[in-house]
Amino acid sequence: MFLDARTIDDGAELDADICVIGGGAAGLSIVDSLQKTKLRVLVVESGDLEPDSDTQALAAGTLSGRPYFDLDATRLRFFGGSTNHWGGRCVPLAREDLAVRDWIPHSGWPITFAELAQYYARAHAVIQLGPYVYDAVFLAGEMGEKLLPFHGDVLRTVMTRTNPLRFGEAYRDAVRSSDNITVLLNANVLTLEADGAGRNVSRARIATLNGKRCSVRARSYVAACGGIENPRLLLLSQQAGGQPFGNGHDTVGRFFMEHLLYSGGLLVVADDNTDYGIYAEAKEHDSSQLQAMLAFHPTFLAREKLPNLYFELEEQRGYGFSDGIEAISDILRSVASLRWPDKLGSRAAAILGDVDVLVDGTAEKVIGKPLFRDKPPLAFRLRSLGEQVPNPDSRVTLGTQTDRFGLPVADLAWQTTEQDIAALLQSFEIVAREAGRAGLGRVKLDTAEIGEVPLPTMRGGHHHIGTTRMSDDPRNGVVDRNCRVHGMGNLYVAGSSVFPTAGYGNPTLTIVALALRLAGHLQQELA
Amino acid sequence: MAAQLGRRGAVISALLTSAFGPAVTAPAGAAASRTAALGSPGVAVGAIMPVRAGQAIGPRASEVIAERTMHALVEVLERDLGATGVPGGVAGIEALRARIRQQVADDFTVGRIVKVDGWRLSLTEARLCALIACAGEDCRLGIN
Repeated sequence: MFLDARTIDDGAELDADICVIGGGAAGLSIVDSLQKTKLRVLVVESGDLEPDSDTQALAAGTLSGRPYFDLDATRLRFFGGSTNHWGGRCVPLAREDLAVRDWIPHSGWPITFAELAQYYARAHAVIQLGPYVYDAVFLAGEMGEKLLPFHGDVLRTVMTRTNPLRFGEAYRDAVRSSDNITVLLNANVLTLEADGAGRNVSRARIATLNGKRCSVRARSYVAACGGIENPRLLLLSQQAGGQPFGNGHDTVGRFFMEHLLYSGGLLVVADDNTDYGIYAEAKEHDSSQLQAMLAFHPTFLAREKLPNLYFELEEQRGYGFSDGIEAISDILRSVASLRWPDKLGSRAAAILGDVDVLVDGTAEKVIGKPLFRDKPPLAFRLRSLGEQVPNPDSRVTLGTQTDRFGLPVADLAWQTTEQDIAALLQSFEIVAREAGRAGLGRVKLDTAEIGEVPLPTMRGGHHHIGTTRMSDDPRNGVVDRNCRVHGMGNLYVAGSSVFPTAGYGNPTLTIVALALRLAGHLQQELA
Repeated sequence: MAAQLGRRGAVISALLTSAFGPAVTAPAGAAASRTAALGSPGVAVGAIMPVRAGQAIGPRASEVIAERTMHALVEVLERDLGATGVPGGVAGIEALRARIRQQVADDFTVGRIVKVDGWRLSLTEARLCALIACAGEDCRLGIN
């Protein structure tokens, strides 16, 4: 059922087995797993069923690192959380993403890929993604789609699935009719209070925007309010002696990671008679939308000591897409008025192959039609989704400004390293090399920014990762392998803030998988 | 030296001429004199010139390759492509085409890649473009 914290008695104390703070993808996945069990689950949600600006303003914070999105724009604060505006793309992490990689500082998850992967199929059901199948060759065959002809052990195609499920809408009816799930709306958790020994959370203090105060007492608590608010809540909540929860080694809020989105190159494809549409747009199959991405083989990543990433290929047909073509158009202008015999032109093209598409584009601009071809060349804009190397100096802290409740807002100092940028640029160069080697086409890289570190136009993907990272060693992380906060007996964290490394995948599928895993752990522990 | 250059230039020019079919109008002026230096007057340059990729990319490519003269360029292309061993006729055309493609692929494999206006091109194709440009009006290389 739903309760509105603004309408309950001031000073009320609610009771539950599990208090989940945040009704987004992680929190509602726990709900999905625990509904119809004997456990009484109380979800404390800052917002209502619909958005409102006053609540959204509580997500505001400050930025002190490289440029980033406004914090009150990068997350949504109402039932369903940021799934109310996400794109819905999902892909599981690769096995190697969880491994210790000696070229990636602070890499290595305390759980194995198998321990995580066993939850991916259930996560698929939660997100309504269709079958848990990602084999790109198999799926392309089923769909009758062509894959780019890269061979060898450098580049490969990976498949993604997309379903932008609005969790708030999807779970509304289930919550309404549930006997054991309660969602407390318009309830902002201010801090968590510890018991006398400081080893357990004794209650969550809650306030509403209309001035009500209440609290929740539970056997276990789960912070599931995102990669910026999770560390903020821990930093605001102090054990006896003033130590923030889980911060005995100053790890809370550190290692903030994003996926590095950089649109850095153009791949012109020689064979533009083949439809590579599965890369350009998501296509309906198996009850979800499938789209292919270009990625590196794990063995190649290890050999070259690169972080993981994939490239999204945005199709561009037409001649106005390339600065390079613009640049050479002046040179061509002087010769374009000459008439070349068609047969001669086509035979010349056969010798120099795909390079001629560059010239055709210019020819169309100058004389109104391509010289060699009867249609524009096929090109893809290359956009990376790159893994960032964990960096303790990239962090969320408490800022100097305060929110409506007088609590310090989050300050985000997102940092990138030289290793991040160098690896990203190297990855583009490798695609250029492999495209030429395979005879697939040629790549133009946006050289204007190269040499400028950090890349000014590079941005993140609204993925907030790593700020309460998982580690068996409290010196290197905030939560243990069960997502329990180090030093605390009944406090857990859910969401991408527990990822020790980001991998190449959009995080939501793994967020849901880990939340289901945590729900299972809680169910066992509280049975 | 001039005779040697002429012979080598003629090998490549003739092969390209064969590949491209009948010649078109030969250039005049400075381009014509360079044509003469290549040793295959009129016909060779007329055949090479329609390769618009070369015309467009060649001038910029000339700036990033190491060879500063057509002589050096012809020599290195002849060596890398084994052009002197290519037979005449249709078989020669196919053989040269295959060698160019293989050489381009090899360039990418071993990293012989040059940057021309941001484009990553194989060294061989950049050299070919530079050579072709030198048959036109925008040659940026010396003769010898």
